[in-house]
Amino acid sequence: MSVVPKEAIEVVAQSIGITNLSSDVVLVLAPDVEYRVREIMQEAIKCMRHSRRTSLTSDDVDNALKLRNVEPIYGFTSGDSLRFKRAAGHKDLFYIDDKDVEFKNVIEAPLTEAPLDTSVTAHWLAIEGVQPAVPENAPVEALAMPSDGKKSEYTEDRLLIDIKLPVKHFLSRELQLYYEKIIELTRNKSGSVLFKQALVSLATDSGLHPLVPYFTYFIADEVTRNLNNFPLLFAWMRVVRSLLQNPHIHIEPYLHQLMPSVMTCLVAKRLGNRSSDNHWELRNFTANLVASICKRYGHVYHNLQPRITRTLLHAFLDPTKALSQHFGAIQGLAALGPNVVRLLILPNLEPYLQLLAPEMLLEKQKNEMKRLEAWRVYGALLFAAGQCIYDQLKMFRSLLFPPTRAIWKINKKVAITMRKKRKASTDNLMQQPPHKKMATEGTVGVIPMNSMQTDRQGATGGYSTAVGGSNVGLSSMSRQLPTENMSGREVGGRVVKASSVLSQAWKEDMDAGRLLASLFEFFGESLYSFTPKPELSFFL
Amino acid sequence: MEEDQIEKFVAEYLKKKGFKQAEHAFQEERQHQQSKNTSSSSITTNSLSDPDLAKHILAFSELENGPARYHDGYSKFRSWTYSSLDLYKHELLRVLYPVFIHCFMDLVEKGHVQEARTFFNSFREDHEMMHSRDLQKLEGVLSPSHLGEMEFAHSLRQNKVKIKICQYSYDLLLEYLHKTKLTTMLGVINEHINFQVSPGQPSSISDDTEVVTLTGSSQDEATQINQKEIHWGLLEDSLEERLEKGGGLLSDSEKAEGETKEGELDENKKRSGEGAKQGMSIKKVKKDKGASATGKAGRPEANTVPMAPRVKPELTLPVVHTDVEKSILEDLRNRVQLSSVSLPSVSFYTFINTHNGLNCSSISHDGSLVAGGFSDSSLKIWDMAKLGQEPVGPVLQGENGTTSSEHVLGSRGGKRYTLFQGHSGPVYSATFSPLGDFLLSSSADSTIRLWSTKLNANLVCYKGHNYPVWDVQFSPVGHYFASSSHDRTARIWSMDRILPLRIMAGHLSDVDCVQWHVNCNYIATGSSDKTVRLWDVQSGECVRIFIGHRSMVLSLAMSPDGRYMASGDEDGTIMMWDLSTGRFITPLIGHTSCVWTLAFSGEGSLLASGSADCTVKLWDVASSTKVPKTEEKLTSMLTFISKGGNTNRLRSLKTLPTKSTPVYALRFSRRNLLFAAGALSKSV
Repeated sequence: MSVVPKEAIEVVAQSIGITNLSSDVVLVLAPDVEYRVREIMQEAIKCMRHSRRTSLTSDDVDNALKLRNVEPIYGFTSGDSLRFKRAAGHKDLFYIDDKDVEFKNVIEAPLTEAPLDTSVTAHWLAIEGVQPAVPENAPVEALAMPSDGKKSEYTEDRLLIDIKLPVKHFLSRELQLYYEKIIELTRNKSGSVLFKQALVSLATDSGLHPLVPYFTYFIADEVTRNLNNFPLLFAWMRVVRSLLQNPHIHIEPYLHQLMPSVMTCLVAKRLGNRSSDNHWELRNFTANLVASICKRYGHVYHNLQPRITRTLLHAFLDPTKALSQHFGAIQGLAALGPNVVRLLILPNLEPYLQLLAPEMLLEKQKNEMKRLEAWRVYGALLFAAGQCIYDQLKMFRSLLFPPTRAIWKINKKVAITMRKKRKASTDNLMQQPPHKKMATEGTVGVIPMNSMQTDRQGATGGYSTAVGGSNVGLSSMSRQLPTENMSGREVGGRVVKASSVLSQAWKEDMDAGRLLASLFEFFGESLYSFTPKPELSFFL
Repeated sequence: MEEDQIEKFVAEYLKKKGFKQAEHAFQEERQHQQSKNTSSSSITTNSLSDPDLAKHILAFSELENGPARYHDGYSKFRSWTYSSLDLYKHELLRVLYPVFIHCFMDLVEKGHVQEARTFFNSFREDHEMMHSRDLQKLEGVLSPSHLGEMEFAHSLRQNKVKIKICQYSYDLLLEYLHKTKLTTMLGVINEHINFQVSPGQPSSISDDTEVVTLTGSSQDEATQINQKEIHWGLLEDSLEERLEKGGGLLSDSEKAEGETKEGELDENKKRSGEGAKQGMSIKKVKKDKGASATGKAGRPEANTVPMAPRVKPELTLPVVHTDVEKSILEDLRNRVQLSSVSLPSVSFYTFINTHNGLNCSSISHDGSLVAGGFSDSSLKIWDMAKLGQEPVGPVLQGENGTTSSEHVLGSRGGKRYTLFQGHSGPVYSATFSPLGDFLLSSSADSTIRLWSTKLNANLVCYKGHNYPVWDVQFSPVGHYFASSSHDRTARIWSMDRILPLRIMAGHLSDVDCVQWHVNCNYIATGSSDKTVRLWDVQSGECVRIFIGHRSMVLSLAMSPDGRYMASGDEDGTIMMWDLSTGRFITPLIGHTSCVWTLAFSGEGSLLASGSADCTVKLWDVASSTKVPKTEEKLTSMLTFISKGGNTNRLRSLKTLPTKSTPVYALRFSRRNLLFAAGALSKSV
């Protein structure tokens, strides 16, 4: 009938030596015990309230007992609430875990550290009703703030002026471990599956924001120190891309720190110290990275894209710079979109090609590496111009008619010379097995495009007879060479005209057809791969 | 044959009760009666012809059927109430609770403890929401002796509950009870409920609060007390008043000579000097009033606000030093005007490494000193102005007899505090004098100690309470202070006497908090009996009883204009009261846990509340107090109920969450900067 069972009373009675307790007494005592316990607890709750707490501690019960002039229960005092354990097998039975302690151990144990002394710190909970985002305050929706830019700026300004808080930055243990793990993976196991997983994690996990300043600083540092360690550079660029992809990270404030290292990986003179290092691929990758940064943050930082393009253009137009730098610059510009190409590359195309041509010729450039590099740059240029023209053609479909005939003519000539020269060029290639090997191994840039193009030509029935077999790529590649020479030599007047067309390429209403024609002057039919099919049919 | 029936019942009753002799006598009597039935039948018929008596005897026999009657009767009554007409339902539901607890106590009283338990448990859910705390108390009652011992139960038994009910509901109720012969219930209702039958429509739900607190103190008494007149106006010749005049002149001069700044400054000095002089002699005040009148004539817009009435101080007030007055006036002049659109800045003092030991905290008026009272009997004071500065000089230690104080240097230096030791029990409250040169602390050792922050020493130990002193508060002018204790009294003291000047007795349970009225003529006390009382300092009489809280009252605050009072309770409800009418204006609902502290802003437009749910909330007082008109209030209350508190949320201007730090103390500085203090607790 009461919460206290009569057995409990009996047990207690026995424990103090009363054995013959009558059941009547037990029945009277049990409810009274419950009443007294409730009374004490009521007082204990009062003491708890006056100690400004919401959880009852043994101290409160002691104080309540003192209030009633009862001896407190000794041995249970503790600043924290007691930890109860559930008894195994019972649903509602709890006990305090009270371990036996060896007396010897207690004596021999070193003195525990004194608990930290109480102290008071001050901070602003609110400034004119707005809570500043300092670590002492409860986290507000941190990412919701930037939406109303004005307001947050306002509070930040006030913060800077009014108070100088010692802002401590706390990194949780987990985050520190995470950071170290990422660094280690990037440094040592950038090829592993684990690293790929890490990249995914960097790109998707929320809560990494506190690490961003550390990462940006570290990356900047690492890139400058490890310019000749190609795998590491590539790994870091991947990390950068993942960070940029992460929707939970607010990376804008750190972009200025990040951009120099990214640009380095795009237009550095040397990336990696071995010739086997495929730094072209890194440059391509970085070019896309730069483009994505511009796309995402260009509207926030108005001078971001101008600064990038200026750097790239500078690298592109400086003849003293290495070809690899040119390549990076072209790729970077191309990745920024056809408009950039039209504005910046096409006007400079003709003089640049003149510069580039001797480098590509077997006769003039004996160094194979150099020549190969030149071809790479050429491929990049072609790609950039092709992308541009493709874009143009799509936009100005109807403007294609007038120059068709002229091009047709040129093409015929090209075709003829092609046939003549083809044998020679294949011979040339045969004589140089290493070159051939390199070329066939080749990169994404030029060759696949050409082979595609030839396929297409085959379909349209143009020059399909001229090409075929295993050396399709090679032949079409080498074929450009004479074309170039020829257009340079034979139709000098026309070239002048073409360059003038190109120099006006930035004009919006520029006739796409004429542009295309002039580009043909430089690139020949390899440009076909960039023209959409229906348009192509006009030419053929 | 009715006669026979009755005789049979009587016989049965006697048998059942074990009155053997009486039964025997009764039987003999009967036979004797029967024998001479013919002769003296006139007497018996006469006596038994009274049908009422017969009914009573019948009813009595029914009543005696035992505890089951209570259970059945109550459950029938309950189901009838719940199925009654919607319009009258809430009125009838109010009757249920008193019937319930009295049925329970009747059962206990008669010794049917087991039945009482089952009865209690089967119906307690109905009342859990409104009266959970009372139920918890009653749950422990297990024997008739407990009823006598327990004050709560005792007072319930002694006093009748007053319930307002409309005529129709009353008729319905009586008709039902008579028709169904639920005499047990009728008996309980007759015995313990006092109906106030009012003609016309049933009252609205909002009046419910009066019945919520069955706190023993009879309602009649309370209303009688609340009839008394009180003067809530501000003191004559207060600093604020002087500022109004001074400020008026100042702004005039600013308008006139905005460019000539030097001249203006000089003039300012002159005028503030004048203002200070005003304080020195009362004679000058009259002259100045004339001057202010002319000043106001020049600025008619300042006069639109109706002036609060002024009252004379009942206590002899301490003389304020001129320099101090000057600085206060300067502060008041520089006060930031707060409103619902311009919220205050809040500076938060976080106690760290308290190891669950911090019991209370107090902040001085200018926020430069912070005191903490700890459960290890110590009292520590931090000088926030010196925080961060290098400590100078070696460790000071002063000791006199049983008390000591020492400066403790932090490990990193600079973070030092002054440790006051003297109490022999947990320190439950601390308060700074208005000027910050004295500190009072109250403790579980039933003493109050006065400390000097200048000398870093204990000056006086005030003994008078018999039990732990829960709260102590300096009066707004200093010198006097009030304390409240577990011994159910509040006491008024002055610094220069070791014995209390007044003892306020009347609360039915612990007095948990105390607060001075701004004009120093009244103190308010909040208690565990769920009431707030207002006491006249001069006479020591209770002048108001505020009933409406549903749990222990933990914090109080008085508005600076002296008209309103706010009180916060254990459940997180804050109530706004109108002192002159004694009625509550509106509940401010939002906190989810104990409201430890409340503070009005300097000009009374905002109320700040700090709670165990780790938030500081700012409330718009202007809109909270604007609806005291009865009709408005009703409608607003109804909409409040129907919308689930939407209107109230509008009054809550801002919630400022802390980082798992319950807020122990709040204080608006004179310039309206809000200081808050609390202990960082990891478990929350």
